[in-house]
Amino acid sequence: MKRYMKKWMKSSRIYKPIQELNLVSEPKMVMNHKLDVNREQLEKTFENCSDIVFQSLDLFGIQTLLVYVDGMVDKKLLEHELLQTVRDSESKCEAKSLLSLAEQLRHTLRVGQIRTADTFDDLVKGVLDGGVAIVLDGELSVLIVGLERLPSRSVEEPEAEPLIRGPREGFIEQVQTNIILLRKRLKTPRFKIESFTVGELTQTKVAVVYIDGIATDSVVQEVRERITRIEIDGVIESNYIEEFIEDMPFSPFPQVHTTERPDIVAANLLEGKIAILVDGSPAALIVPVTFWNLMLSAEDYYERFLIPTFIRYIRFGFILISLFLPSLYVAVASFHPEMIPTNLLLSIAGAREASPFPALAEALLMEITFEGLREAGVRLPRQVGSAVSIVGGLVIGQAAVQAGIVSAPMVIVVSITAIANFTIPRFNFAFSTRLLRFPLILLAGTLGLYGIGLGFVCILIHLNSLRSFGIPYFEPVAPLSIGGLKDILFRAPHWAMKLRPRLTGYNEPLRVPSGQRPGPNQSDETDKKEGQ
Amino acid sequence: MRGGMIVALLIVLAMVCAGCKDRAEINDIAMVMASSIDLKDDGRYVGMIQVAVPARQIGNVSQGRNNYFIETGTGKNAQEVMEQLQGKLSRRLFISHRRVLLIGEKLARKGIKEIMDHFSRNPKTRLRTYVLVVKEQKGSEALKVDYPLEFFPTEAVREMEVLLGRTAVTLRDLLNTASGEGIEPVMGAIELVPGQQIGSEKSKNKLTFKLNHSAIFKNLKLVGYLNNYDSQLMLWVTGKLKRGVMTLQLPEHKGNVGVTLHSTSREIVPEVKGGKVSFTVHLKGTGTLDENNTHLDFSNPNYYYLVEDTLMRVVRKDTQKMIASVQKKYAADIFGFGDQLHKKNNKEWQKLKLKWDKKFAKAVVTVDVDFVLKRAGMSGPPVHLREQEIVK
Repeated sequence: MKRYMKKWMKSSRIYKPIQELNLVSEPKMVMNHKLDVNREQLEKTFENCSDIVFQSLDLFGIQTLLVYVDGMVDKKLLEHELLQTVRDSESKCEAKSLLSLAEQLRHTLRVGQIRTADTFDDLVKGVLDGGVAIVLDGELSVLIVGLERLPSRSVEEPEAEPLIRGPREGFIEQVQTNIILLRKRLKTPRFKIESFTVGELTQTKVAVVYIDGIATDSVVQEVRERITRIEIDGVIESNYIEEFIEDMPFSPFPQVHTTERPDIVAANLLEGKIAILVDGSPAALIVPVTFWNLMLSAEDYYERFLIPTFIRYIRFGFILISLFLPSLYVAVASFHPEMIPTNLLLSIAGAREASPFPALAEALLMEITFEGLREAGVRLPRQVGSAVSIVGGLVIGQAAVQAGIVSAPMVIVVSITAIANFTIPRFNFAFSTRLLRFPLILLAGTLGLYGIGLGFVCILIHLNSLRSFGIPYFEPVAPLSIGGLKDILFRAPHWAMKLRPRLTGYNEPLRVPSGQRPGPNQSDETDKKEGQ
Repeated sequence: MRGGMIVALLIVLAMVCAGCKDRAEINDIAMVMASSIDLKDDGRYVGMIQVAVPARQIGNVSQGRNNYFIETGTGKNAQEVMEQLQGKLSRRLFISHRRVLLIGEKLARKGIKEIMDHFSRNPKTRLRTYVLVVKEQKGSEALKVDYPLEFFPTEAVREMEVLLGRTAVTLRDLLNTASGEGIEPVMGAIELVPGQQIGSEKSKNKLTFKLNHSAIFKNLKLVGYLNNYDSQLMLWVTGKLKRGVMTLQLPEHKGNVGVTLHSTSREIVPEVKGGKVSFTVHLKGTGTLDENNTHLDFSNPNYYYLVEDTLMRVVRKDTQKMIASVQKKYAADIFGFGDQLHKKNNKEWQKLKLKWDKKFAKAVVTVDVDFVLKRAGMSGPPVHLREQEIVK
């Protein structure tokens, strides 16, 4: 075992010197005066990159080279705006002006973001980002005009997080669009966006967004540090970032809140949290997160407060069921039959009489089958999706009971557990309860209720020692903050949730000024007050 | 990380070392629903158990076959009886769900002191098991009775105890009263009477249960019975009456009325004067009139007072008579008078407790009753009578 570990460690070291894979060799290449030299160098760099377009032009009698990535640039803008403007202004520009040609062009162009690149690296980067590089003969700096038009889908409702009432917008794969979706909701200059680039080869844009003054500076700094610390070849999805910035990587519980909904991100930013948007992934990361955040659905805040308060208790109950029901059944059925009411015991005994497996084996069998079924349902192409539900109904259902392979109570237990699991609003949190269910079933099958108690205590200890960016995971229940319970035990009406969460929003605690409770005579009273 | 490893190791060790030791899969237990103990002529005990057959439970009941079966064992003590029984069973005896324990009259007369220990020492025993004496019969006879209304015949006994609120004594009550000072245990007693079970095939010689009497124990030996009416009064005096029925004769109005008693309570005031003990028992209760076989119109409150007065008089007289007979015949303090004295006047109790049986037998008991009739049903006069027949 130890030897294998060592070998594995060694082999993993191969990937370490990642700098070797760098785009351009170390000493930064400076642009040459001569266009031909530059062109040669560029063509060498982009060798075998058939999507790179080199377009030669003759601007003001000077040899000019346009370099861009085919398909990443808005061709219309390029034709009509850029080239047309340049041609139109040809007469205005003078070759023998005091300003360089590049500078003159910069002043004339009206489209896109214009930058100048002085080194070869910058040029290459600019082109790969979707810019159009204008290389002029006899100039040391290159103009890069941002005309990128990247392929993207439209803003749709996120399929994994449906709501009955609430905005239907969801993040897409482009970080710029996602930021706009947030900016739309937070029209304040205090909404800050800090950009980072992560991934040596993917050069993925990562944006850290927060509200200045509400978010805690030290946490923002910690997020910055954790992101800049990442060294990786590529970031394909936001989970690549998530796993690098977690506090306790081996915990089964998610320490980052992921969502595809801009409204959830905006609401969390208002509570002093920080969101991380990653280009190429619609899932935004929100930190810090608490256990209770993960149990709440966005809809809790979009319905009148009585409904979500009731639903919340249902959800809490079902989360416990989802975690403990199969193990409780196993423990009671195989260790403590005296705890079942007599008549129920007789029914269970009658149903279990024909089943060939002990309760533990039966539970594991059914749970694993169900997990397989669920995984199959996710992976299957949509066209054959209905096949799973038909076959699944047979496997976990009447047929299995009639065949005498499993007992009916176990089918019911597994079904209730599955339903309970679906009530958990956050998928990643639902997954951790699914994961913990199996060790609990094993404990229940070997040690009975004592084992469940043991497992429960271990989970509680772990949850209470867990932290997400310095915030205790169980806050506000442990450590207790009475005010924070307003949003845990029940969802207080919006006019009553006067303060922001204690640990994330203490910079600017006041959220809703008091005295806004509505009532029939409210306007009269305010009139009176004003009169006085 | 290291701490985590140690914890994980401990859990795994615990699972490996201690796991599965007490496992009793539901398919591997014989669920005892009821049991009985009797005394054989040679002084050994005979135990009989009624075991549920899981395969014939709800949903899989096959017609014409019982969903339970009966097995017996004999031995010098309870453990030996259990061992013999276990020898005849393919599954582990599981007594945690036993609901009824029946004691044969013969054993009860001889005394159950020698066999009681097993029921309190065994951790699997359910303390809520109802304990009953089978009057003038063996306990095993009661287990053989077929009762079609419930899944198990003995379930009927339990349901009767719960429903009627008669002398319902659980193992816990029995242990409490048996070990308590100044109180003697009573138990419910069932009689096996010929039943009229038309529904079943062999309806000849069919016996059924009748929960009727209370068995009086002294020193854990059966000394006598109280009949149904006296049991009711006894329960009122001990404060355990939940529901009672009284039929009152009203001779001056040529008929009787039926009254149901609810929410009864009692207070016992002990008094010791010069070594002589006297008790005053205040009985309180409310009730409703459920039957009126006189011509009285109960929209007139005066007739309420009449019924109340009659009931109080009758109860006072009968209770005093009942207590006197218990004092005289059995000298067993089943009412817990001694216990009350202990609670209210410990000084005197300490002097009296050693010869309490004698003192109890000689104690002067006075009873007074405070009864309120709350309602008289849906109509004032009997509806079927003509106007002129009604006494207003």
